[in-house]
Amino acid sequence: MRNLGQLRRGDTRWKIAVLSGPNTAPLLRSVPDFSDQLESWGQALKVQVQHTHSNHEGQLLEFIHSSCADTHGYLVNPGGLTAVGESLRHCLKDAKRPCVEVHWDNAELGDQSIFAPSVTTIFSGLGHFSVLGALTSLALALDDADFLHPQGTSEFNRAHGTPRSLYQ
Amino acid sequence: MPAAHLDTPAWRVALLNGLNMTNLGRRDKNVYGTIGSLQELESLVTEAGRHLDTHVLAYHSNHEGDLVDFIESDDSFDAYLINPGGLWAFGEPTRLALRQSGKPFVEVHFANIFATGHRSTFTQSAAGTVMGFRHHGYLGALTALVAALDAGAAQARS
Repeated sequence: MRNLGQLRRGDTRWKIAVLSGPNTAPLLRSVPDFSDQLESWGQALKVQVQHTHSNHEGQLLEFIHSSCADTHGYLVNPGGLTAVGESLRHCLKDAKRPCVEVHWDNAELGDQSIFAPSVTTIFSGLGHFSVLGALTSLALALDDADFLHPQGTSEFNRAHGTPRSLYQ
Repeated sequence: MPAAHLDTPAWRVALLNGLNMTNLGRRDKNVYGTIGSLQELESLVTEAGRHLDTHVLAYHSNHEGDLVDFIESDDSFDAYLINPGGLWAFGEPTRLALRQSGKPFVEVHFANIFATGHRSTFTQSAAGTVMGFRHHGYLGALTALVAALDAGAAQARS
């Protein structure tokens, strides 16, 4: 493992939830192994990572409802919900936390994503390493008081396209 | 160099910044954040490369032909990171040069341009696409790219 921890300027152990939606299980091969992989990446980056996989949109909603109060950001691979998951999209928007739309393959980033306009950021391609890249960028962006830091008060701490109501 | 790093190859990654990126410190801070200049950005990514045992060579131009010349004249890179800047919509020569290189590339944009209802022409050929993280996107992109190269999983798209 290369020296990921050195990339960060801050040392807050951000709590980041990773959601794998319907039809992503074949990509993950083994959900517990993937969760272990995420945990080791989280340790390298000095952040807390919690992984949830479900084929049921309602379970993803309930997970977000119950976790958003003490979660600093979400990584979401909407899988089969990419074009049609309006409830999941709305739920993530209501959570008022930075949200990264993650896809393992750029072919999924066609014109069909209904998430793209309302998520904070997008990280796509590069297989499961897109999750590692998204975790890295999100940790750095949360460290940045002028960007996604929850206590940031700078007039510039809002991403382009992100509702001004983020966090409020 | 720590012994644990001896079995990891030192990759060569070219960092390309396209049109208008030389104006970075003077652009809209709501979109581009508080990074001071293109040189500051290039130093940040090059420095991150050192932590990842990866040699990053930064190149930028406001002339699309220069980018194509650069890509065609040097095939020693394992992969490319590119922010096409103003070329995101119509940078066909640059996209084709990257595709013809046969090497994987990741496109990075400061803004989530999908949120503005637009699509980048680079996405169709890119191994990866990163949008909306401001300058932090470059470091995540480099991290993911290096991990994929280590695993032999970074593929150029046809």
